[in-house]
Amino acid sequence: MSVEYAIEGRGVVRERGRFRLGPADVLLPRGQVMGLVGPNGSGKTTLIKTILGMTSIDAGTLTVLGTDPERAKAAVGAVLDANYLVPGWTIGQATRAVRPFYPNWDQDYAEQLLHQFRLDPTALVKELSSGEGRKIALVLALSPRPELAVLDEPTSGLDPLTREEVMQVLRAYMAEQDCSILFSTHIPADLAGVADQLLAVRDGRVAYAGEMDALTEEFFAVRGANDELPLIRDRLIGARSTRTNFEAVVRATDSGGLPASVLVEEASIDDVVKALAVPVTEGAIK
Amino acid sequence: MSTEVPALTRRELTRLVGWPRFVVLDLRSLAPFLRMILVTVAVLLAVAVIVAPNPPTLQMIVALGVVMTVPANLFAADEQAGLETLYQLLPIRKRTRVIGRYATVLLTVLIAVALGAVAALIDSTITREPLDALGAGLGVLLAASLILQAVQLPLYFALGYQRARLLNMALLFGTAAVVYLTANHVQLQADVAVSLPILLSGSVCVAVICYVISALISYRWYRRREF
Repeated sequence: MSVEYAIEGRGVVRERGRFRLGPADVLLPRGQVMGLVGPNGSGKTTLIKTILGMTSIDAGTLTVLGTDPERAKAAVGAVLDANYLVPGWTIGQATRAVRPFYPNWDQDYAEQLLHQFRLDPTALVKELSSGEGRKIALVLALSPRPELAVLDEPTSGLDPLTREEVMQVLRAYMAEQDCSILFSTHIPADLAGVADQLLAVRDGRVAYAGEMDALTEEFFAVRGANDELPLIRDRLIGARSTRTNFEAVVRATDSGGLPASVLVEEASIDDVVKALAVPVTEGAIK
Repeated sequence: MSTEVPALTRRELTRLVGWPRFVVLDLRSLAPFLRMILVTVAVLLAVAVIVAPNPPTLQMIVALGVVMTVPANLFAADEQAGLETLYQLLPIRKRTRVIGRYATVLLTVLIAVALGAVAALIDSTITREPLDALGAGLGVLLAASLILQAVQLPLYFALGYQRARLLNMALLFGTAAVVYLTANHVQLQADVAVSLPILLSGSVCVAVICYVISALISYRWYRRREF
């Protein structure tokens, strides 16, 4: 039986200046949640923009909800890491401006979310805090009842309480709506118990694409003294070091032949996601 | 389910491609700038009353002044409020955005030309100066406004507000210079018996053709632009 994909990208390449994304395979089965992780500048937002039809691809094929990204927009809700509402609008004006473009817009749900997030419809967009800005973006993304939600760091910069509120809304939406979600984040905890799939990108290339549950079979956690680092650094992913020790993950295929003094153990999902999401050289001794 | 989704999307898109929705969005995006726009128009009126030697010139200054300044606010809002990002998220194609924006600007042009005519009529009533060629003025100004916008809009679509505004500012000053130099000529034109229907239909037809060609050029350039 063939799998139906909400996002089906094969060999996707996007070049802009010196930056090159891909070739990347992005396969999100319908009804599932995919976490997208990677350091800043690794290509997460570029990938999201291609999925939203905001930028073209230079090679490969990409379909969203079985059609090209531009055509799928009516059934896709998105939160981007940017401001895109007129600062002089009130929240009410913003929803009224966006609503006519979506035939499936659920006004009751929009009002429920505004109430749940304690957003005053008469409040001006320019007076919202960054957390409130994220919330209104999420209201506008989910109120059209999308079949696919593409969320670019929806929890970035939020305090723990607000982050939990946002995650609760997302969990509730997934529970009541048979939708797919692509969710980029720097916070591994956001993905725990939510994501079925993980896509990790580093330097424009896919470092991991597959099921979250398989992560612990694909990677091992390693710990050791910094003296060992120069010998094995090339194999390490997301190395973070203190003054004397380091910790990182390695692919299972790269774990053979490590020095005996390096401790290799089973990694937790959190270990792997954290390692995949940090820059290549973060914390590593020069 | 799998066969329903594309069909549903197509049907929804058919419903949504209507450029009037984009015009409404455009007008909503201008709403917060309404006070600033009204102040601009008031200043223009005051300057026109002081500078214009006769009602036809006043009509010209008001109409062209509004046409040259107000539509730029739409593109300013696109960039300053990040609306270009919103447009890309909404299910509207670039072609629809271009048609919608041209329709909004056309609406602005019609309001500007009407405003110019009203200002000239009031001025003529107060100063008791004759205003024989009001109809011809309407036609010529409508044509001139459309041609001005036909030149300006592709630059905004291709370069964005920040980069295009300097070019368009030069165009504004050039137009102002032409208006100043031809002010007396306009008075002469008003005295000469002009075939009004020919002047009106001819100039407006040419302008409409320019406006349509401009929209096509804008779409070609805007389609290639990435954000």
